[in-house]
Amino acid sequence: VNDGAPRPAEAQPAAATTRPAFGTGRIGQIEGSRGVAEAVGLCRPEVVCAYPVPPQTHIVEALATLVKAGDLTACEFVNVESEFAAMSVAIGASAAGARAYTATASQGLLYMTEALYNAAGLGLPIDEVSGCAQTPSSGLHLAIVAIAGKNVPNGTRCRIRRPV
Amino acid sequence: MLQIRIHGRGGQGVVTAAELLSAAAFREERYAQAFPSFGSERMGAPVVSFCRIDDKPIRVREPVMHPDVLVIQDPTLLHQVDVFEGVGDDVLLVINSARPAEELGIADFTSRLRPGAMLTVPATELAQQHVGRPIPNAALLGGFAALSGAVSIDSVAAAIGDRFSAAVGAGNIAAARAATGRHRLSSAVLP
Repeated sequence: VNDGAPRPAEAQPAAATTRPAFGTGRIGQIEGSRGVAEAVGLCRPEVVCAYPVPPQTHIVEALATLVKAGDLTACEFVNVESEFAAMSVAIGASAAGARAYTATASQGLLYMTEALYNAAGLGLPIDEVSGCAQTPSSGLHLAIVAIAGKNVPNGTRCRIRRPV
Repeated sequence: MLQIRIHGRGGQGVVTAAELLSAAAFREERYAQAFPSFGSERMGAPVVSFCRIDDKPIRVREPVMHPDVLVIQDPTLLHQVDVFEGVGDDVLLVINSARPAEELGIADFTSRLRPGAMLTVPATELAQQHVGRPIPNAALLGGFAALSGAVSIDSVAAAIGDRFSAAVGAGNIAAARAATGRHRLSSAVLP
C-alpha cells in the first residue's frame, strides 16, 4: 500500500479492452482479508480489537501485523477474550473518542449480540466487518444485522458490513 | 473460464491448494480467484475450496457448482461426500491415490468420462518423501498442471516458492514436479 506506486485514481485509465499492465506496481494479487485490513489501516483506526474466528481471522491477523511492524502507528491492537468483549472494547474506545474497528463472523456475531444493541443504541461510530461462514447461524446473522441497523439513530455512523 | 473444485479434509491444505493455483495463474497474467467454503473447522472435516481462472475479469463470487476440473485430495471422501455433485461428463479428474483408478470403486462415474480425462497421483506418498509430512496439495497441483495444462508446472513451483519458507517450499516444489512424472492415467479411460 505504501510502496510509492501510483494509486489507481492517479494511474492512467486503461482502455476498456486493454488488460492492465503487469509488473508495473499497479496491479497485484492479494488475499481479500488482507485487502480489507489494508483498507482499514488507511482509515487510521486508533483501536482495533477482535477475537479470532474464521473467516475473518486473517483480517485482524493482518491488522495486528501492520501495528506490530509500525506500518499502522497511533493504533492499539487489543487481543480480547471474546466477541462480547471485542464490541465492548470498541464501545469504550468509541465513547472516549477513538476511531474503533473490530471484525467478527457467524457465531462470533451471535455472541456479540448484546453489545451490538448497546453500540447501536448509544449511536457510537464503530466500524465492523462481519464475515459469513456456511453455518446454521448465517440466517440469524442477517437478522441481527437488520435488527441492529434499525436501532441506529439518524446521522450516526454505526454500521455493519458483510464483505462476503 | 476454467472452474476448479478441490475436495479434501481439514489439515490437508485444501484452501492453500486453491490459493496457490490462483497465484500460479496470476503469474501467467490471467485473472484468478480462490476461496474456500467454511463449515465447521477441525482437522479431518470435509473441506471444499474453489478456484477460477480466466483471461478476463471474473465477476462471479459464488461457489463452483459445475466444475471443469475436480481435485480429490482424500480418496476416502469418494464414498462419504457427493464429490461428483454438479459434475458433467467432460470434467477433468485428479485423485490422490496410490492405487489405480479401477480400484477406487467409482466406475459408475468414471466410465462416462472422456479418454484421458482422469489421473491418479500418489500425492500423499510424494509429500512424505519430499516434504516429510502427509500434505498432498502441492503434488496434486503438479498433477493438475500435467493433466489440464491450464497452468505450467513452473508457475506452480514459483507460486509455492512465494508462499513458503525456502526449505518447505523446496520440498513442496519437488513433490509437485515429481507428480508430473508419477501420475497414472486410468487405463480404463485411455484412448
